[in-house]
Amino acid sequence: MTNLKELYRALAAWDVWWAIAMDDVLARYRRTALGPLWIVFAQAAFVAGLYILHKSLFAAGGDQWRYLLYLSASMPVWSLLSSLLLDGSTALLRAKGFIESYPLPMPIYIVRSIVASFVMFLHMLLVYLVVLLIVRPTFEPSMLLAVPGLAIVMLFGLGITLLLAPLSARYRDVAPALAAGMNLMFVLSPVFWKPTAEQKAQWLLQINPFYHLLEVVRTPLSGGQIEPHNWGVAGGIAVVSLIAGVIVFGRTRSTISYWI
Amino acid sequence: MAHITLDGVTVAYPVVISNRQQSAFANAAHALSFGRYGRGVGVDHVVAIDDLTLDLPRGSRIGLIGRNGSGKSTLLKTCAGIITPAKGKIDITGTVGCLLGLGSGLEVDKSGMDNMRLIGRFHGLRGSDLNDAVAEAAEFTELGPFLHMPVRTYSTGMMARLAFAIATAQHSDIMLIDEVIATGDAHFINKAVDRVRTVCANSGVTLVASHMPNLLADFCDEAIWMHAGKVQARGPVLEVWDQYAASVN
Repeated sequence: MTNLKELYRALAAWDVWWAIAMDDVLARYRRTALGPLWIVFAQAAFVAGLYILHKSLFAAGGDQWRYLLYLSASMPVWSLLSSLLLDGSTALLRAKGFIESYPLPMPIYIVRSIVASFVMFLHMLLVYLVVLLIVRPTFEPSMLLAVPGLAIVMLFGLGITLLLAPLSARYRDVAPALAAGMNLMFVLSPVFWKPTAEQKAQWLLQINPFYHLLEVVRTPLSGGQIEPHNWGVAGGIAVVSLIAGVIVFGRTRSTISYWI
Repeated sequence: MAHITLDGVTVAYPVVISNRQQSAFANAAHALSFGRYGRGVGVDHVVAIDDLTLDLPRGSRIGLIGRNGSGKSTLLKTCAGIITPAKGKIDITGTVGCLLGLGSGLEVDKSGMDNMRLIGRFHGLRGSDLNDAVAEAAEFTELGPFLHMPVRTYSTGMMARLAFAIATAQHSDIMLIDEVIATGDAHFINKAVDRVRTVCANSGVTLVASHMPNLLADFCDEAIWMHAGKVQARGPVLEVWDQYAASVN
């Protein structure tokens, strides 16, 4: 109960986590003239590279523009998921200086981490918006479903960060192991490739949590229809990670300052 | 109402020596093989505060003295609520203001001004209160144009001035200050002592750790001599200091 109260106090201290989250975004590109615009360029380069590759591999395919839209919607969502996990796992370690100096509610550093990831996601979405202007698909109201989809992803992010951050403070190989794992998942998850009906029927795709979390944001953005079970599984993942995160964070809370 | 009570508080730090101790894989191997593999994952602890019971009622102004590693800083961190004791109960009533180390979460790439704004936010200041506090602290630091330069260009004494100024810029019910003031020059120390005295007059409970007896005698009513995580003596500042000095020499 005291831990839930602390989580609430942390969420309420919005000006604190907002201030340090903004610092995170700006700090990466401090002393560069373009600042966070580099996030956008990096994203644009990746999308352009994959698009060119796709075009040369499937020259006959007539859906090149659709693929470009798919890709530019997929990549930011993947980057968000990857950042939620990887930056999330180091959320407490990165806050060492603050944690040792100020008695702030500890979950502030968790919230700060997922907010910074989200702000970076918004930057990357610029590439998607540019592609949207080029491709000009017909607007469908179902595109707005990306908003609840994003809410599910962010709840997952909160849960997974509450879970991973204290674990990787205690066990230092959690973060590098996750980074290695995410490289594998990037290829195994349908980020830059579109799953066929056959692939969708395979268990390898269905047990991949990133598939469902990707689908609920990326599919509406690229003008497709989400399958109902994607909603259910993604929502389930968010709820389970949130419960697990609150439990683990609560149990480890009192020892965090010793291990960071 | 400011008040701190410690009841049988024990704080022990885990001592990590080998990489294995903080490896999830080594620990998992150790657990799954019932200790046959992954030796050396066990973690020893160093007791920093040992079964301490202490009552610091409203109006306490206490100087902490003791040798390095006697538990002064740990006691301050515990009273701030930064460290949760392994055993025992601690009850902290009131808002906490603290200056517990030179770094104190200063971000070296940001300017002194930006750092003060952030730390002011940590102390719960917002809007015009924040602006006023930062402006007042900026004045106090006498750092002038340096306030707009990155903190990495600062000397140790300048950092101390910055951290001290913003930590003491607003009223806190409980004020905790670790040995920081002494890093400044004589002019700053005098100013800081004056400021701490005003802060002490306003705040409910003050704890200051220092190796300077005159400084402590100046604004503390009582001293606590910490030794090996326990209270060795508690009483009038100079009296306790003399006992402490005698034991050291």
